[in-house]
Amino acid sequence: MERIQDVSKLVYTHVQGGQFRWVTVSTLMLALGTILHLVSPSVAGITPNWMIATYCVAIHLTRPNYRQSLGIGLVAALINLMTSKSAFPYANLLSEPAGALTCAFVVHMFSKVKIGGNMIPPVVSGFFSTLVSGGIFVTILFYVLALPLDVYLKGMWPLVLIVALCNAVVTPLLYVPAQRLFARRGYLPNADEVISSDHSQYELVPTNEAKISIEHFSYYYGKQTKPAIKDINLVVNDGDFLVITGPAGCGKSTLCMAMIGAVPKFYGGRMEGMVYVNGKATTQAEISELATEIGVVLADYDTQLVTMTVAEEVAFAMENRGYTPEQIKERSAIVFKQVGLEGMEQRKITSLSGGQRQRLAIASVLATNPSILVLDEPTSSLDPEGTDELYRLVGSLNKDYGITVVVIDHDLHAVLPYANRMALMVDGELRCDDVPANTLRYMYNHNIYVDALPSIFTTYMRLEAAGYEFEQPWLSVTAAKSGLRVS
Amino acid sequence: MLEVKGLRFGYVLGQDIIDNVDFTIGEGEFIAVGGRNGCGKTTVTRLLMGLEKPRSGKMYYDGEDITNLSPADRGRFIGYVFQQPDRQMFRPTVAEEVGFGPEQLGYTKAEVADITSKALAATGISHLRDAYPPTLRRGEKQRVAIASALAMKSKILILDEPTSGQDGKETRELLELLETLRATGLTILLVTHDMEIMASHCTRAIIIGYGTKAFDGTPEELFTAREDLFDLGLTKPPCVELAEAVPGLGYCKSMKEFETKMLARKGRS
Repeated sequence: MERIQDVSKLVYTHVQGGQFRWVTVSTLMLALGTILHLVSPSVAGITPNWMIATYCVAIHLTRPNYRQSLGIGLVAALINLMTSKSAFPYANLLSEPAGALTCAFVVHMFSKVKIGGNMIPPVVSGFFSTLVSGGIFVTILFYVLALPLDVYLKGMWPLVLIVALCNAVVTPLLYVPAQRLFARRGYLPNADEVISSDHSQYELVPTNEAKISIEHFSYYYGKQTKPAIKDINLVVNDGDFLVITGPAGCGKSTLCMAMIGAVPKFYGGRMEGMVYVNGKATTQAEISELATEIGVVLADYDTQLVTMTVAEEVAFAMENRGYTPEQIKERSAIVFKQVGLEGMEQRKITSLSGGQRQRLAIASVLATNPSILVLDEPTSSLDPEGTDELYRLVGSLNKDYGITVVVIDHDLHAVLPYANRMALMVDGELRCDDVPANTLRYMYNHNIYVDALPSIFTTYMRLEAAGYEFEQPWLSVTAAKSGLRVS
Repeated sequence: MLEVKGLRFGYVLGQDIIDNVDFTIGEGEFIAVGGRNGCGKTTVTRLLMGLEKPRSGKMYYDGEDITNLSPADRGRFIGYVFQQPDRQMFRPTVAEEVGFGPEQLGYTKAEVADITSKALAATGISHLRDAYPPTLRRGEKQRVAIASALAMKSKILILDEPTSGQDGKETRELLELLETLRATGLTILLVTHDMEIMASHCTRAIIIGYGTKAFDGTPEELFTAREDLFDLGLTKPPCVELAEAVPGLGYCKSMKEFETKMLARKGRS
């Protein structure tokens, strides 16, 4: 383990969806292979083995490792099992994986010697994969069906050889257009491209024991050269209710995604610095691991709901983490009480109102008992009554249940009574991080995003400038009224 | 201009949402339609637009009975901006979307182009004429819907919760546009939950509650005289509450007015 003292130089890159490209490409190619296999005419009993040709192309294009290649071969075998007209189709279960592994071996060798350009490797793999696969297939037939040796040697092997030669021709013919098609859609890895950095050899320790510690964090999406987030340092302490605000496109949602590990592990891009959640470096933990520490409710909360009924939705995350039925029952009862959805357990999700569905999303996030709750623009689809209700709920989760809360929002007046801190972001930078009154004052004085300031606060600032004196800043109507009565 | 008499409606037979709703709308009015969630305020505007048929009651436009007129025919004088304006757009470009109405009325190509350009200019979206509507921001989509109404030479514009979920800037710009349009004689009906907008911009408030029209008058009367604001699902806007906390300041319809009065006081003392 290498102890990292200065995380500001630490880089993590990830290509979005990169780890799944081999699945996408080989699935599409095998589908094509199945169709070609079914429609291909046979001349004197000879036809190219399209299945082998297509998975060879997929393996050339995405260069999966041996384990993944074995998987591709097994899928091809299952498809063959169901479509084969052979006397003993089960032989495919051995022959196809062997063919895929042969192809992976050829690809591996060619990547080492780097000769042969674009055409030679598919020719070679098409030939040898078919030879190995076909050889195993006919050998199994020979033993299982107890065929005469003459038929095996003089009838079957020449046939295998001819099909292998056919495949040596069709594999490169499929490879060239497939390569162009997939490359144009960005499905293919560049040479020497690393899909995800590996930080497992580092010893990463946050500089403090906060709930969330963001240290020298910068982030670039995809291949962008302009950072979405620039060198942010932010600490969220246990029990905080932090509001992050800023104009559209300032990076506040990106910061929220970084807290749950979706940046950098899901979105493609380049991350510098580090984000720690409960002491865990987000580059060293899977998103699903972090989810037990930190829960997120997205602006479009409907995308988080996956089941039919309310009770199922809340049980879903717990079932996936191996909770017992008793534990699920117990936790469900607790979270339904917390969010005020008691008695609605059997309702269909589609019959709930928008505000209720949002509460359900919160309940299902709370089910696994995370100590931090992140809400990304939770009020964007709520009316004023719904907004007040939501923040009453989130405020009580914070105050009564000790859950640390981070809220991204641009509608500030409703959240102010509950927040103890407010951070302002502009153009990917953290401009101000203070108690809400001071951050609002900063926004007003520096003329930043003043459209988001509650009208009552701007009035307070102007009256103060004119010489009025009030005991406390006007963060709510109540505060303003008491100030007015005294003065 | 538009008169409604004894309107009664319910989605389910035997369960009326509203009954005995009467009002008359004049030219250039800026009317807020408010009330608790589910009180039927959107239903009222849908009835005006002809999207629902009343169980009983009549509607007149300039004295003509329009109760049985289809929504398409009402499009000649009423424009509607849905809460989700995406749901009313179906053409590939903004210009075609806005030009669709006049096209159906049988204007020539040149006339349609002229009407479209004027409507786009009036709503400040001339630069978006070739944009694909679904890719626009909600505020921009609303403007496209408003432009479509202007292109039909609508006299009445109904907007359903146009400011929910928008930030301060978008809301302010939309209200500025509505004020400008109103100055040209357009009547505006705003379904809203926002008490600040109701007080500061609207000349009249129609509140739906208790299954009928519960209030019809100025916002000032509503926020100062009504004792049952809570039951109607309303609250006093901050400017009214603050103004009441300062003896002798009088009613303030907006934070701006409150501020001005307070600053004037300081100047005197």
